[in-house]
Amino acid sequence: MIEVKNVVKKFDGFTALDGLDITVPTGAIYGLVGPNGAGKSTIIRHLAGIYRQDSGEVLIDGQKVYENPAIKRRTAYIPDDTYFFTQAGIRDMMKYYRGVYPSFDQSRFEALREVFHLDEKRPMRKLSKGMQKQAAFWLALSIRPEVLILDEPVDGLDPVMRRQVWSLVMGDVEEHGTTVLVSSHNLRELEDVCDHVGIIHEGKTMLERSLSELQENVSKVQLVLNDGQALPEGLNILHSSTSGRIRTLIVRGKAEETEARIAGIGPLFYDLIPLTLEEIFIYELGGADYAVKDIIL
Amino acid sequence: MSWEVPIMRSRTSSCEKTIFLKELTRFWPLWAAYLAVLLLTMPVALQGTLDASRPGREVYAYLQSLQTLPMMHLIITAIVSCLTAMAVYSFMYNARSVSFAASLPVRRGPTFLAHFLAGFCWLICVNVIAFGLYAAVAAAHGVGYIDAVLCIFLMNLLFILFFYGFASFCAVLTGNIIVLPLVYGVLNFTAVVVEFLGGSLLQRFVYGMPDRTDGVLTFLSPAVKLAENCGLHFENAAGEYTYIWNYSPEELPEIFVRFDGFITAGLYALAGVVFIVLALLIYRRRHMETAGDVVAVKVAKPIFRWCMTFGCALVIGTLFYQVIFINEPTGRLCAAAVAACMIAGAFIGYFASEMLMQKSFRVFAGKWPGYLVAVLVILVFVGAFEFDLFGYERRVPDAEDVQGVSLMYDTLLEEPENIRAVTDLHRSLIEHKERYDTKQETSGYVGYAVSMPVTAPGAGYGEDAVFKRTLRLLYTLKNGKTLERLYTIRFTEAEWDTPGTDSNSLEDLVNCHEAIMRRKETPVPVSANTVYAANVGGTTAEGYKDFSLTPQEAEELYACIAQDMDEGAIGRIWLCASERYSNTVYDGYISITLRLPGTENAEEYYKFGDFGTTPTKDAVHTDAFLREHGIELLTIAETRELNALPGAVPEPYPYEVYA
Repeated sequence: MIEVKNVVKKFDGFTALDGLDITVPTGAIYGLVGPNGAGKSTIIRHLAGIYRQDSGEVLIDGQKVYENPAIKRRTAYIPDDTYFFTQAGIRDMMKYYRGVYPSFDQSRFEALREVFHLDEKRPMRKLSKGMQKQAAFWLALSIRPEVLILDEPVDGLDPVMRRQVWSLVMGDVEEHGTTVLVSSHNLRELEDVCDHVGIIHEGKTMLERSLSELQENVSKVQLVLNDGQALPEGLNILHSSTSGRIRTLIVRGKAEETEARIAGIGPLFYDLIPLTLEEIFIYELGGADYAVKDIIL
Repeated sequence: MSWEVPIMRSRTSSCEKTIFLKELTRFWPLWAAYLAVLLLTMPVALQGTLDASRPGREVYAYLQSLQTLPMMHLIITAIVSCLTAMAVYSFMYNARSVSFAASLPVRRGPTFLAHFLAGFCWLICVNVIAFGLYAAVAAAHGVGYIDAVLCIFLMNLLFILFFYGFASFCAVLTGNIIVLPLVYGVLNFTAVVVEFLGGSLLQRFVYGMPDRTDGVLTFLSPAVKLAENCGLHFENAAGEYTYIWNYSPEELPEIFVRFDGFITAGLYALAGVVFIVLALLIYRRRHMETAGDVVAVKVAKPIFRWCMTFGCALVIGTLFYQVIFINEPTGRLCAAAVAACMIAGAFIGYFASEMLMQKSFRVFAGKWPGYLVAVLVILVFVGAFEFDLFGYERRVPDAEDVQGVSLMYDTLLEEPENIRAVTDLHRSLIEHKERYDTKQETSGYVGYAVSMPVTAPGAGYGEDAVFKRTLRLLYTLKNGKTLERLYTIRFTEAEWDTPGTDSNSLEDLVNCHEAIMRRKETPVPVSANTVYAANVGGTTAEGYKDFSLTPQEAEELYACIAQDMDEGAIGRIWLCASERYSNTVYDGYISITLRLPGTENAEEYYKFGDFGTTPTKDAVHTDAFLREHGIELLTIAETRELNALPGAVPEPYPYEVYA
């Protein structure tokens, strides 16, 4: 389990993290989203043991991360901008990882060769950004990490490779209970893989829930009412729009309860449609004067 | 899920080992280049030298080669240590690489040590190979002194410890790889430069301030201090030493190689160890987000700011002063000009440091109070010296506390009455500050041995012509300390001829019996056996002539000169090119080259020395000898008359020259 408790981090007077709280259950895939400058990469670097917080706690499985090799041995970190030794090829880096990470699984490395079709002897600097990202996944997954921290992980990967990579990650989660924290701007992609979501803004946590919880709590309703018919009472409508006779409502509340109320008035037509993660954020947070547009765009 | 790691200790060491081994191999081109340089300059060069040496001369060539090694290694080690630090700590200067290193499952301390040791091991290994091969070449040629090679190797290890430790310390202070060599280079020379420039600026307005520093801060400039102190020389059984080629082959087996500066190098090596520990401690606390910053450690930022401020006040202040005040102002104006230039230099240093630290040109808002503090410090500093708050200008040591005092032309006085006369003269010079502290008229002449009139040059001396002399007083006190002052005294011929005036007192001092007796001393005893060449050159009625003397004649001549010196008739220094001087001193010079033979069958091995003086009419014994040998020189006045030279042109020998 990853726990970030009231973490504050300042850079030359600029507050990057301002009492941030995050909780990632063991075995969860946690999507961390936020606008540019929200503090996503900063908290990820804390979780990777790179930065030391000014105050607060950064814990994995109850132990502090900073200067804790025991925790870091079980953690793999893939930054948004990967680093490899200039002259090294994948095989050289593999040997390095094998020496540094005791849990490095040589057989898995060999097995993953079938997934990542990369020239192991070619210097990393001669690989494209996407190929370097693949190499980073190859090496990170070969560690057999119990915690995987990913910062904009699939940037630069082609769609096929994205699927491959996520498939491998989810396989690890399913088989080994790996805990994954992933930051991304791409909410549509996170929706496909995450079971928990946290949104941060200006160094603070705005919202943190499981995806199902989010989806259960807000519904999109399309309905056509009879002439003179009014909407049922008691609906918590976040947003309403009309196109011809069709009205579209975003309603907060349990989907079953919402459906029961609408069915109760007997409209000409109605349908409940699940919201996308992007829509949930817009409607949940749109009225809260947060920079939701920044997150979505 | 368990987080326990089996055999944790061994795993931890495995991580460090991996990092260490990777660092060893990553920068192999640097180590290879270092090895190539050492191989070329040591075993290969020695092999070439020994092959090219004439039979029987190999040991000389070898020992000469040995003698160059400490200085050569000092320079190479200083440079390579910095390059090594730049290589092994390069991961700290890039956000990506530092994140990679910091995310590895290794603590900061072991990470630092793994990088440090990788560089250190290579530095040692390269030296072991180079010195080993050097010793092998020496052994193959049978030239011996292998223990000396080992000593130089050990000395170089001390150099490595210091320079690499110091470079490591500089490396953790900055977050920029370009700044690392700059900081390292600057700190290796800062103290000497600051002392020199500080002294140079003070000399402009502090009366009596010498033009050279006593080097008390040199130890803070390690490269300079080590270069000054470390080396080796070749000593005979009697503890005497000279240039290696001065020893005869018979003497060589008795020669010892003596090392200088082992203690100095050892102390710096200890300092190097302290720097390594400090670097380790700083690295453990260092924030990784400072990669790219000029100053990576918070506590070092104010130090950097103030060092830049006052460093620029000195360096740029000196530059401004040189450029703007070509016609040097005098008195209070000079101090004001120096202060103004330093304040301008401080402005550049202070705000440049802010720009570098903040990586922005917009640094002026809110930073003026700090700069005003710097201005205040400069004003207090300059004001304190200008108004002599430290009593520097007024200080004259008690004669009882003085062991000896050196005046112009290396005149050393140790007799109590002479020392007392010097301190009296010193007090008088201080009393006459207003007269002598006029820089404009002395510029361009300070330090010249030739006494020239300041006023109306070329127009004849005249009664009002003002002469000047630079007087350096270097006291050696009985407590071992030294005190040095530098004055330029100015006088007319009438003043110089008047007893009790400063110039007259000075003339008496530099020509006292003790001073002249010292000029009689020669590095090699004068005898027919030791005279290698002797001649008398000068103007005669037939023009300039050169007369060679036989060793026997030279020995006789020296005996005459010595007798005249005892009587105070030759070996004088003339402060003023007066008529008396022109009528007394011959326009000529006596030169005797001496050499001490080695052995009969190895004639080329000698110790050399020289003696010389200008003959005078008063030196009756010398004069008689010269006339007996047909050498009839003209006085300077006679020469002037002969050549119809205008009186204002300085004579070729306006003072007597002595050994």
